[in-house]
Amino acid sequence: MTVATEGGRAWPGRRHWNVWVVLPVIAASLVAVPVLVVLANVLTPAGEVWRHLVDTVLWRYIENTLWLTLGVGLGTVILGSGTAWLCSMCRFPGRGVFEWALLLPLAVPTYAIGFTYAGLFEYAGPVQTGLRDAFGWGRGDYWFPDVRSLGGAILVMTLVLYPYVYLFARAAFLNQSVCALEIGRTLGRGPWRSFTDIALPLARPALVGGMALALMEALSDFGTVQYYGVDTFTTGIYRTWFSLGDASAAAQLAAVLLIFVAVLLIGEQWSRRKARFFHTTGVYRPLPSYRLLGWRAAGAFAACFAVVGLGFLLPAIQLAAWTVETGSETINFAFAMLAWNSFRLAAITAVLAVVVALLVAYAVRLGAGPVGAMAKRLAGLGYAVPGSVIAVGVLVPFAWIDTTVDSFARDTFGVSTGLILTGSLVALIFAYLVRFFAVSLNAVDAALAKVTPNMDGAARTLGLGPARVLWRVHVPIIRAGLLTAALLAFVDVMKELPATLIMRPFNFNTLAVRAYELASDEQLAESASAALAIVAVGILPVIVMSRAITHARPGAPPPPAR
Amino acid sequence: MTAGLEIDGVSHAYGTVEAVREVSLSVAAGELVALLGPSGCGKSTVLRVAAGLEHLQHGAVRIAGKVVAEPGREAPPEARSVGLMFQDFALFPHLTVARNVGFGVSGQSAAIVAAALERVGLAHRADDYPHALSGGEQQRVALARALAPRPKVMLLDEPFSGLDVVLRDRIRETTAAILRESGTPTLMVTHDPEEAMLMADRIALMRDGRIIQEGPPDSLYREPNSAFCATFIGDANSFDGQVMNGAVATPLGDFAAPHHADGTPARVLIRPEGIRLDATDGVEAAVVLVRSLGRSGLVTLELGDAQTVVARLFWTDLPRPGDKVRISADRAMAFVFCGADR
Repeated sequence: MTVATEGGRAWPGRRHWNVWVVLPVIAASLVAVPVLVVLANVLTPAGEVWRHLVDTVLWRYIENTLWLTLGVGLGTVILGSGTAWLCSMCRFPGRGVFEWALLLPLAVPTYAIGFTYAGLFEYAGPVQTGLRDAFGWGRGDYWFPDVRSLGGAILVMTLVLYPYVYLFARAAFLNQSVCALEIGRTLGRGPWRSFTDIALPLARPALVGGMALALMEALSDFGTVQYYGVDTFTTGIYRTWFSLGDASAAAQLAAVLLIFVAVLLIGEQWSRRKARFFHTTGVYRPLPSYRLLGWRAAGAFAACFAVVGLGFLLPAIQLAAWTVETGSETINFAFAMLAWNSFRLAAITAVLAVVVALLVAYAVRLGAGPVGAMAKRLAGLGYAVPGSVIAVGVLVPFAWIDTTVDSFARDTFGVSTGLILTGSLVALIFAYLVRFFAVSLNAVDAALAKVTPNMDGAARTLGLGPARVLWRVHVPIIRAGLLTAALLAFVDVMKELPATLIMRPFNFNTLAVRAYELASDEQLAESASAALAIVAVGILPVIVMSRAITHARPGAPPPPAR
Repeated sequence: MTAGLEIDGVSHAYGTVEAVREVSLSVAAGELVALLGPSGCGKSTVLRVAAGLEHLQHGAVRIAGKVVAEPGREAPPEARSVGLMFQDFALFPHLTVARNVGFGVSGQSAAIVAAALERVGLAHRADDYPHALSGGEQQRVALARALAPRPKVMLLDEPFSGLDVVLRDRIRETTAAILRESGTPTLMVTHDPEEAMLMADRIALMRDGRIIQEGPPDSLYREPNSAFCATFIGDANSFDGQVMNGAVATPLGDFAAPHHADGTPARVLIRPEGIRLDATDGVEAAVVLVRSLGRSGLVTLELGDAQTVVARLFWTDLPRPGDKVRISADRAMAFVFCGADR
């Protein structure tokens, strides 16, 4: 007997290949456009600028980027897994607070901590001034490491990016079946050995996943490396675009950067697949907790406090101090306009991202088939692409459209339309969407899992079409999840710097751009108010995440229903 | 017979796995048909195809005489007028009981909702949210919700498996009563033969994607057409053998197997209630174990060659362990299956 495996067609006029399949495909292609544009430029013949880049700076970019990924990768894994182990497996004073406080550095964008540390440790900064005052040293009497260096960049990025590893490692440790650890203990492994021999290897995929995310952030950082004088691809792309004015050379640099990103992405996807197999399912009981006493407890406390202190408290306090110092001049009407610009960009993007994410996720749920599911996965990869690469990838085609329209208009109507898309907020918001769509997609997906497929079935057979079911069943049930999704995208847009810097309309500033510009002018104290505002907003998703992780453990009491 | 639901030659495959093969089934107005079978036999797929939740691949589905799905065209679930009840009830957690019930009703819904809740005895819980209800109450809300829009067909997918055993019997009865009262043709999917026998007017037994027997509950019990059907629907003592001279020899005597060639492998199944202990000329057996189930009891008997047979007897007839008895088999409660039917 033969059975046709292709589905029958729908009722007259309604084919299977309908809007619900097309949606994720459109979303995926839009996200793919910037990446494809960048990759396509690899094929264009190398121009003079590119040859110049290869002769002079390319190898320095590669070397610096390699050191940066190596240093930040190692640093985030050590800080992230160490603190995660302490907070999930040990009992010591303050653990309950550190559990969420260790996420706080996520609120600090890499450029903000970069500027702050530069200000703190420069010659005229409080640290060196304090040392000179205390010991009566003068200039040249002592050696002090230069923060504005590759090593300094690695350090400050590690301090704010380790929470990615912390989040993943913590989840992995909590999900490990107690049995594996207890058997380890009975087989003669002490607490320390059971960490190195059992817990760490089991958590390895999670560590790789978290590290990959941290490194994606490190690769896309622009503010810190630029300010610290570390030439990497992001600074190179920016300079090639603006100073040398060569779009295709910038795109070619972006393509090389994408190679690094691809490696990270492969590592991250591998870790996700592996994580499922490494999951030792079975008994989840309250975790064994090593009660730390005496100097061990003090040591654990000191370690966690140092990490939170250096990654969040110190920069936040310094930013606050500068803000107090300069607030009377910096916080004025212009500042309000900056905040308003940041706010509306972030709000518009967040709403769009959530609406599109909801439609795409729902479409795949309705059975958009393998094509739809694949498209959805593709659309979710934008988070890996650095902002500067997306900027180049969006501007090149938009500029082409603009000039084409313009010359058409001039030829046909004798009027010049000028640049419509390039340098418009539309282009900028599109770039944000490409970059941060995945953030809201993941949150929406997680929320949608709460609605069982049978609820769809019940609602449909009760006479409602797919769109009305979405509106009357899914949306009300996952309202909280949609808000979370919007919040995450909102904050990411507020923090975004490189794409904004490249793509913003003329004379259009945001908080992030202003903070960067003032810091670049060596007005660190003046830049603090804008940076502090961004950090303050950045705390919101940290609160959401900390609430989520305390309820995320299998076997843990579920969060209250309403 | 006016058909409520007609499933006509439906086949369905998931990838290369053929889940449903050429299934035809009809449910008349006012009738409750059970689609019975072990898990994975494809019965739920039939239900989902009928509801439109699964796309039709082969065959046709008609509801109230109108085609709702045939190759090339298909009405979406919302246009089929079917009521669907799931094992997990799938109540909407964000809506009150009343709004759950009124979900599928348009227009003047208040009176309809009130009547529907009254019918399932839950009028007093109208303003509660589903999570505040017991399992039995949730089940009744799901029933009321499915019935409120007056569907032309009701489809129940294992509607009682989510309930604990104590509740289940009572709720089965009230559910069957409510469905009969509404006159809605109903197709119920279940893996529980007892449930099917208790509730259904007709049972269609499925195995490996096919309906292998269909009929009133007692006909499946009394006249199973295969060993699978006989043992799935009820208990039976089983004896394997071969056809010799038109009969199969067992320790309990020969059983006629006409029209089968000598040497054909055969299986004889005898219902426990078909074993008689009062035979004067029967086979000798020793009573090993007696388990009383109240009204009746199960007696395990050992034959001379260490084979055991189970008999079901009225409680007044139960022997005692150790008793020696002579047993025989009632030919009316014994079935002989040869060749592929075994």
